[in-house]
Amino acid sequence: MPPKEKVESTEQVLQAVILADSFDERFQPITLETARCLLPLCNVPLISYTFEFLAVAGVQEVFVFCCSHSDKVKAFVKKYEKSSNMKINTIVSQELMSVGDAMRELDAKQLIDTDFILVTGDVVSNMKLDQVLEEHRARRQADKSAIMTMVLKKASPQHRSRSVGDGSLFVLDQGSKECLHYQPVKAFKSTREDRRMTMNMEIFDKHPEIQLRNDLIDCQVDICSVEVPALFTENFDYQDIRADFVHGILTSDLLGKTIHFHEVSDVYAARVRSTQMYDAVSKDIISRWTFPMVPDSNLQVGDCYEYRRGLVYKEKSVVLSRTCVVEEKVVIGANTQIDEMAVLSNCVIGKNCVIGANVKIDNAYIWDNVVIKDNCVVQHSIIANDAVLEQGVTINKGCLISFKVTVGANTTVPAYSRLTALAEGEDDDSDAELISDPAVVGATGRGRSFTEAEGSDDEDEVEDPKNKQVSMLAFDMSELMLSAKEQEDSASDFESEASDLEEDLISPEEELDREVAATLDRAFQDGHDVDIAVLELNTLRMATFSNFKEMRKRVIPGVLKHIDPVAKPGSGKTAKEILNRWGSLVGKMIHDEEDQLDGAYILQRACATLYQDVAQAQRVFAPALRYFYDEDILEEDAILEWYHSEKSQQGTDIEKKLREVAAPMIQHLEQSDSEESDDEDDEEDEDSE
Amino acid sequence: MPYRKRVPEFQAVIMAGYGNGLIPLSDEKNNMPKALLPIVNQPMISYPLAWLESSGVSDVIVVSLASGSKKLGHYLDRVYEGQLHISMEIVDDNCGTAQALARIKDKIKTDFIVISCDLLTSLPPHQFLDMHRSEDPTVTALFFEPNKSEGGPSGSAKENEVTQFVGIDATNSQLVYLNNSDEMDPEEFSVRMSLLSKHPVMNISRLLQDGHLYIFKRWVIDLINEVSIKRTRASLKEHVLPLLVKSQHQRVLADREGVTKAAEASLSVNPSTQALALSLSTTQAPEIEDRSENAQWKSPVKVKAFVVAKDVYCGRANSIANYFELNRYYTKITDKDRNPGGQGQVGADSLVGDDTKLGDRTSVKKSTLGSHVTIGKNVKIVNSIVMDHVVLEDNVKLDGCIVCSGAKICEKSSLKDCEVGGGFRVEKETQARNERLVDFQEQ
Repeated sequence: MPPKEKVESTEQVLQAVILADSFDERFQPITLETARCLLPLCNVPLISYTFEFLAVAGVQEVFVFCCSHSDKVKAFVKKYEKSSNMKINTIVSQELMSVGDAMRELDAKQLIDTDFILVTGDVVSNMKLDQVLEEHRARRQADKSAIMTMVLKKASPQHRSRSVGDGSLFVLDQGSKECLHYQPVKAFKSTREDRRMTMNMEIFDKHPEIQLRNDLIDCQVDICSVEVPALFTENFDYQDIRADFVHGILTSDLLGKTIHFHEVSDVYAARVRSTQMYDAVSKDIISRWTFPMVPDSNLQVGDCYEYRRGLVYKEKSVVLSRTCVVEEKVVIGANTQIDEMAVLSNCVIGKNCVIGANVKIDNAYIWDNVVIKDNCVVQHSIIANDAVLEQGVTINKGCLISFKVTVGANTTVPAYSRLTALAEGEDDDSDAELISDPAVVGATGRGRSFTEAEGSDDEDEVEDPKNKQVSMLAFDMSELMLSAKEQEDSASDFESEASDLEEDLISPEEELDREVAATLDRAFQDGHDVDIAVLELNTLRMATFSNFKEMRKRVIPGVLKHIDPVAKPGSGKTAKEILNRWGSLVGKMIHDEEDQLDGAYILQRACATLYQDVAQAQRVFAPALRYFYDEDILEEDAILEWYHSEKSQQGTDIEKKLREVAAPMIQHLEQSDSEESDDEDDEEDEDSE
Repeated sequence: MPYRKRVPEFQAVIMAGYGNGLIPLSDEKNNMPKALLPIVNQPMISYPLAWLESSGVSDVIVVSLASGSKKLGHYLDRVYEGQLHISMEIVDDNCGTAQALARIKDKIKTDFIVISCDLLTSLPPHQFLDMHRSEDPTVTALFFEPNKSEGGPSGSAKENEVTQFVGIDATNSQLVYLNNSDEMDPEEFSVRMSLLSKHPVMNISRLLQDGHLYIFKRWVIDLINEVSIKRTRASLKEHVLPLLVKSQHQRVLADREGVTKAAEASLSVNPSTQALALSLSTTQAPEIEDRSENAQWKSPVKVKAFVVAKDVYCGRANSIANYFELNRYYTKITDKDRNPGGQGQVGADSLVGDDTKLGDRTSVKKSTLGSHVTIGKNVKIVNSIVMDHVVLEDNVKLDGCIVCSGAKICEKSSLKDCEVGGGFRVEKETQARNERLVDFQEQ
């Protein structure tokens, strides 16, 4: 497409790009059957909110990028465009896997020729963008390297519309409004990197005063210049707009581009990124935080909600029975019928639903054409179109019931279930027959439980599964099932978080401790060759920038640990056997005389600390020393020097006792020193003992 | 009305150190201790004294090192004319600031202000004190952004200065992060996430400097004592303050270093005034004490940072460059009625002390001249500080120099960016640049 003629910047057509796909699987199995951006949020498709937001911002032309279920999106957009005064183009590309791909596609198609607004198809916001746009343009005029302005909303770290597990940390310069560093924040900080914010010290050279912000909602509304898609093309490995693009631009010395921010505080902005956010945003809409985007402003053509006391929104055609109770924060769509004694609170119910008698619905999102028969209980779940709950069904919290699922009578669906009526190995193949799972949906039900692994093929996502869990609907921190080990882990997490000082000092050493121990355990268990173990240890040493001394300190006790002082010969655990097998490992860590001396000290200390009982310690120490001497790992001089040094005579009682054990050997060595002639016989004698 | 003994709100301690950054100016033998170095012909210490006086504090303890105590004592006894009730304490020369405070711990009865004798500020004291009064923290510390230097003698302190990284919670001005660049990874700046979730908006600055003006709760003196036992040359700035800052978040550290213990001990003796006021209030609902183990640990420490606004002057004369800068600034704002007219040419930004004689064709620009200075003919003094009893012979040129008292600069010498030690004699026709002219045996 030829680039359009340049017009005066004041009269330029304001363009926006909507990424309708979210490139993740958080709403599966529901999103297996429809596009993410078409999910109804308070009975209005998500993308309508985004369109509305852009229309208010004065956008005249919109490009919608869609990938999965593009036909549905296209159809919707076509319908929507008629009632809107924006020009909406749909761009379909089946190969898109990420935001990065979409941006590259955008660059390839050359659709954009000015600064544009980049949003995702799940943004709900009532902010105005004119000020941001003005700021951005002014900045661009002064400095061409300012390529992007992010709109960030101020909130508190625990704000409910701040998605758990999708947090982000920004380092900003309030003077120049520049973003200096970006780091995603995970809910569970399993690694050291996650627990710390780390940035380049060089930032301080240019920006001596910075601000760290952990209270911003990043709803990914960006004002981008035309360079942004081009940069995505240049850096073909960029996938995510924040983790890759923003981080990449900010850490790159070569590109010399800057990213700015605009902070808004008294408007609403959120993204429906996860089921948990779906819940939060729905409630915000019902509570009118998003005004004017509330149900009674009837965003969709044909809607006719009225707003009643207690934050209840009801279509005119709803049939409420006389005895049903509609508590607060409820939205009920057209032609829905609610029978006697039903109790509704904090929920959204779509069009043409039938809610039976004595049904209790709390905190749930029920979409169109759902039938819920008598005596059902639904808690904190999402039930998609055309689902049927037979009599007496209980849906526990956190469930996603996909399209057309039928749950048989008197079934209890456990918490956090995901049910689908699609056949396994679906993907347009309607040949495959759905095999219903009666254990889940009851004898007369239709559907099966959906497992995460299906269709998810990104192998690089080695994320902590707990981090995925937290973004789930109705997720409750206290419910998190922790195995005993995990609990220990997280306990130590908190502990180490409590002590900055200690962790900073010890951490790399501890890590080496752990690694060495693991390597040795592996070697012992799997019966590796000594050479392989040495290779592994050396790699470890280089990787951790430590020296042989550090390694000795860990390897010697690590080997001795496997000696069982009370084991019988032949069990493979006596000092002699273990040492014959693994002693040369220690030898590989010892090179010159200094090393030998050090090794002797470590040996003494290790025996003393590993075995509390003096006798046991001696039983290990003596053969070990002898073995090392025989194998020339510790040479005569080193042993003598060790014995006579003051360091060996200090220390604990056990250490002293160990030194005494060595006395006969020392005597022998000293003798042999003077009378070298008959030393060989002696040694053989002692060996045979 | 019967006379009642007044209980002072704060005690003040002025730390009059040696002034390592001001060598050779602060040399005891030949010149004067740091506290008495003149800034616009007033001893440096008179500025914090005046500041304290206007803050309403009445009891001041001046802690001096033994080496400068004689001259300082003389000044406080005989020369000082203010209203403060001053007592002087002398500590050993090799004493850190925390150690010095630990020595006088028995004399500290109330919350106390610690100020360095080299702090000069136009900040109204009540602004700083009110922050402490209203927020009731453990420590309130003053931070300021140093003014840009306009050149002059740099001294030797320029090489590789250690910068401080100061992190302040933007919402409640709590001091949450403090680190020196020499203790940090030179490549990476790193902060733990848990700190950021507690303090979501944190300003980190590399420009701010510790003003060495603190208000401590009474119990901190016990902690200071403990720290000074554990370390040699323990200092408030290097050890006590960082410990307190970290104790706000690190329970293990707070327990280990005895912070928790010290705080609890004091709390049981006299609960904080605010808690007391709240408990006496009739409108305050009784607080339910949560003593359970699971309750989130609440640090006994709260450190607040007072950042001096940019338009308020604040500076520390702790290096030659800063000393010079302060002199220049205060010369600018002092009224110069006393300047003698006549023979010489004295520029607008200069100040000339009493009984100073200027020879013919002498010009003085942007400089401070002490009392009893004898100046010959055709002398040019630019950007310099000349202390009392200095003799400048004919045709001397000084640019960016500090000449200590009793020095003599013989004719036709030309010095630029030099420091001349006390009583030193600069031979005639000396040409020097960026040098330190002091008696050899001094060092």
